Amino acid sequence: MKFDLNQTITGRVWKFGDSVDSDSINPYYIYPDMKDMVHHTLEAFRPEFPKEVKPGDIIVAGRNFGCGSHRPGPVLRVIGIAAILVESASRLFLRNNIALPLPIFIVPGITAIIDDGQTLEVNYNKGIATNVTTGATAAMRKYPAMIEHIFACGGLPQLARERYLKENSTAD
Amino acid sequence: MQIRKQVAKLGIEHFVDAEPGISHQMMVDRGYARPGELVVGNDSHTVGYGALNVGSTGITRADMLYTLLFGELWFQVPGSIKLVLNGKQPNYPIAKDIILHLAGLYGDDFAQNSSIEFTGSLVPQLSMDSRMCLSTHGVEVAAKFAMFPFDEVTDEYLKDKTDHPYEPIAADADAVYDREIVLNVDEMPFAVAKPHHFGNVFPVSDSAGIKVDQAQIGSCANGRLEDIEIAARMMKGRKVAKGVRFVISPASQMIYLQCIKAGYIETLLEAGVQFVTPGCGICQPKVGYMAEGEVCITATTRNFKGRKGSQKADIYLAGPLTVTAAAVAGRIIDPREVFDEI
Amino acid sequence: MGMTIAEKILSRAAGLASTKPGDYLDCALDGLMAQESFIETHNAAIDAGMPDGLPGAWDPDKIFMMIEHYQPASTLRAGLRGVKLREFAKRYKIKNFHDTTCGVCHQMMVDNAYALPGQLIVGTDSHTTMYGALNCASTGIGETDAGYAMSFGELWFRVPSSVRVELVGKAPNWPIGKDVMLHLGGTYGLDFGLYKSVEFTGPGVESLSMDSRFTIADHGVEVGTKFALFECDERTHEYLRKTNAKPYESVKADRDAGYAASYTVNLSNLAPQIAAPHSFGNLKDFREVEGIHIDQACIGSCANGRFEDVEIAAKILKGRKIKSGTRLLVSCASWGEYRKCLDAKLPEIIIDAGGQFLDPGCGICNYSRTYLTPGEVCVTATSRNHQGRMGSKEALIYLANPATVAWSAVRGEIADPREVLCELY
Repeated sequence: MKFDLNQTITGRVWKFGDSVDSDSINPYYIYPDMKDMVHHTLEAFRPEFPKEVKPGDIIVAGRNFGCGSHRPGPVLRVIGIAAILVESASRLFLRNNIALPLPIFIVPGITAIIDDGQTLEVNYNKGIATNVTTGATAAMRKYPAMIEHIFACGGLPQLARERYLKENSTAD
Repeated sequence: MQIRKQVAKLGIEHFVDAEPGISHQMMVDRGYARPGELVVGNDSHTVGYGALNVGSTGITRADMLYTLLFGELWFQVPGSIKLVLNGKQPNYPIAKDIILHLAGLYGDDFAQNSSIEFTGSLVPQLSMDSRMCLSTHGVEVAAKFAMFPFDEVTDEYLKDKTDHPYEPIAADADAVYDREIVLNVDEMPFAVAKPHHFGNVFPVSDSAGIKVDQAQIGSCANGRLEDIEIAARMMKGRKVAKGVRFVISPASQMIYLQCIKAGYIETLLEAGVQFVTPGCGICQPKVGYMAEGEVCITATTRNFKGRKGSQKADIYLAGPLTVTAAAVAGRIIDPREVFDEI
Repeated sequence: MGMTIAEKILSRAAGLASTKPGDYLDCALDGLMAQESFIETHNAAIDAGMPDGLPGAWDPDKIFMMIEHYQPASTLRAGLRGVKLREFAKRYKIKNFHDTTCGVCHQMMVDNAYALPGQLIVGTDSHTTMYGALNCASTGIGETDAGYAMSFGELWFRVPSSVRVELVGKAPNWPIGKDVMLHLGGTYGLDFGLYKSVEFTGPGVESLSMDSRFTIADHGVEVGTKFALFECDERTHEYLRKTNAKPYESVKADRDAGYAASYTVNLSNLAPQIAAPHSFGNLKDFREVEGIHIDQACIGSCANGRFEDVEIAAKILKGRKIKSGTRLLVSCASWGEYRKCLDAKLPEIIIDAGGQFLDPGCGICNYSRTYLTPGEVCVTATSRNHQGRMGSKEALIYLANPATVAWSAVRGEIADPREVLCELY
C-alpha cells in the first residue's frame, strides 16, 4: 500500500492517553488470528473501540504510544485507521509503522487541541494538524527525506524490492 | 517449519532450533553479539546485548527483510543519557529494582529514542546477569540502546564464548549528553510496579498484603543464574505458601544446565516450585495463563493488561528476591520481613 | 469354577461371594481420580437440576483431584479450569489434591500410592488402566459417571470376560513394555481386549521392571481393555514399600479360573516393534520404515515417561549428538520421575546431546508441547499415533519404544535400535 504524504487526511478522532502498549494494540497471545484480533484491538484501554471504530478514523494519543514489544500494528491498518498522531511514539512502534507503512506522525501538543469524537484534518505537506470543529492547530514534525522516501515507496519491503532489482540488473 | 525451510534455503549457519530458550540469551550464551558491534534483532528486547558493550536494538519484519538483503539499515542518531549508578551491591540481585525505581521516578519513556550509557561506582560490582537485566529493560524505558562500558567482567564473560576479534567502545571524555541521571542504590527501596504499567512503581510497602495466586521468575529480564540462585538460596528449607503457584523458567538451555549442576533444581522442587522448560512462555500467557481476578507477582519483562492472559488479572513486577518472598508469604511483602539472612 | 483377578475384585466390591462374566454389579469404589475435565462433571450436575453442582463428596480421602493436563495453564480455558478445580478441592475438602508440581495424573496415582493392589479405582481419563500393573482393577470413565461415583462412591460394572497373556522368556536390559503391546495390538487386532480384562502372567513377568509393567497396563486401553492386570510379586511389593503404601490385599487368579482366550509372547526374542500412522495396530517391519526422515522424536507421557525410559535414551545419547534437523523432546511422567532422573544426572546427557528436557506433564503426548505441521514426521514413545494427535492431520506419527526413538533422533531417520543396543549390552 503506497501512502502519499501529500494527501490531506480527514477523520473522526479516537483519543487515547499515555503509554498505550503494543500488547493491547496487538493482543495476539489471546487472539492469534487477525479475524479475531480485529474485534479486540485496544479494548484493554477502551472496550468500545473495536466495536465502534470505522475505516478512515484517526487515532490521537499521548506519550509513548505503542510501548512494549516489537509487534507492529498491522491490525490498525486492517481496521482502516487512516492516521496516528501522537505526542510521542515508542521508537520501535514508530519504526514499524514507517516500514509498514501506516501514516504515523509525531505532533507535540496534539492532545491539547482535540477531543475524542471531533474531526481532525491532517496536512503533512503544510505540517499542520487542524481541529475542524474549533480551528485549533498543532505543528506536525517533518520526517527526513530518507523516511519520506520509504512512505512514498509503500514501505520498506517495497523499497528493498526496488533496490534489489536495481542492484541486480546493474550487476549483470 | 517455514523457518527451517528458509534457513536451509538461505544457508544460515547460526541456526538454533529445538534447543529451548530465549533468542537474546542464546545470542550472548554463544558469543554472537560482541563489544563494539552494531546488532539488530526482530524483538524489542534485543537492546539487552548492551550489557556486553554492543549497540543493539529491536527492529521488525520489514526492517528485517531489508537488513537480511543488504546488511544495512537506516538509523536516527540518538541523543545520549548518562546514567550514573552509585552505591554498593548487596548479596542479592537489585538490577530489577534499579530499573523499576528509575521508571517510577522519571517515567516509562524517560529514555525515548535515546542511548543510555551506564556508569558510576556500582557498575564494576554489577554481575553480567544484572547488567543484562538492566540493558534488556532499556526498552521498557523506551531506549534505543542501553550500553555498559567494557571492563573485566565483560572480558571474563566473553572469554570462553567467542574467539572472534572485537573492539570495545568507550565514550570520549568530552562527550555531550542530553541528560545525566544519578541514583544511589543504597538508598533505594525494594521496588514493585503495580498493574498495568512498567512505570507505575512504588516501594514494596505500598503493595504489601496483596494476596498472590502466582509468582514467577524468568524471561530475558530475569531468567539468569543469579535470579534463580537467589530463589534457590531463599527457598532452601522453606516451602511455597499453600495456594501459590511458583513458576521458574531459565532463559536458556545453558542456564538450565547450570541450574542442574549447581543443585538448584532439587532445592526448588523440594520447596514446591514448578521448574519449567526454558523459553519465552513464562512472560506470555503460554506458561501460567492467569484467569480473571487472579494476581501474579513476577520477575519477567512486562505487566501490561492481558500480558498473562485475562485482562482482568493483575500483574505486579518486582525483583526475584521480592517475588520469592511473596511466594513464601502468599502475599506481597518486604523481603526483609521473610528472610532474616539478607 | 474359580475366578479371575477381575472377577474377584468386582465381586468383593459388590459384596458378593462370586460372580461371572456378563453379570451387572453395583460396586463400591476404592477411589476416584479426577483431572481438569471434572468441570464437565460439575456442569452435568448443573444440567441435571443441581444449580450449585454436586452437593457433596462421598469420601474426600478417596477422591484424587489433579490439575495436570495443561500445567502451567497455557490457555484461558485451562486457566479457568484451574481456578474451578482449586475451588472444588476446597469445597469438597479434597486432601489429595495436586496442583503445580503435578505430572501425568496416572503417575501421580502410583507415585503417591493412591492406587493399591486389590482395589477398584476409576478415573476420568482413558489411561486409568495403568494401575493394573499394581494389581489394581482400574479403568477410565466419563465425566457423567464421575458425578455419580463422586457422590455415592459406587458405580455399575458389567463383569468382563478375561483373557490371559502368557509372558515367557526373559526381558532384555532395555524397556520392552511398548514392544509387548505394539506386538499384541498389531498381531491380534486393536480390539482383542475389547470390554475384557487382560491378565499378564507367566514366567516372564518377574523379569519385567515395574516401569515396563506400567507401560503395558497403560496401553491396555489401546487394545480396548477394561482392565489390564498383573499379579503382585516381589518387585510389586518392593515398589509399594518405596512409595510408603498403606496395607493392602493383593489378589491372585484361581488356578481353575475361566479365560476366553490365551496368548503367548516370548520376551527373549521380541524384536523392537514400530507402528506406522495412524493406528496403534499398524505394525511394520523395521525394514519397511528404516531411513524415513524424522523431524521430531518424543519420549514421555504415562506410557513411557518413567526413569527407565529416560535412562535408556540417555545411555544411547551419551557422547552423541542429535542429528541436525531433528528435535528430541523428553518429558517425565511426574516430578517424582524427574527427580529420579535428576539424581542420576540424566538431564545433562539429554541436553548435552541437543535434546530438550521438558517439565513433566501430558503436553508431550498432545499437541500442546509437540505441534507438528503438515508433512512433518515424528517417532514417539508416548501413548498414541492417531491422526492429528500432535497437531496437523497431515503429520505422520510412528510409535516405538524409547530406545528406537533415541537412536532415530541420533540418526535423523527411523533406525533400528539393535544397531546400538548390541553395543551397550
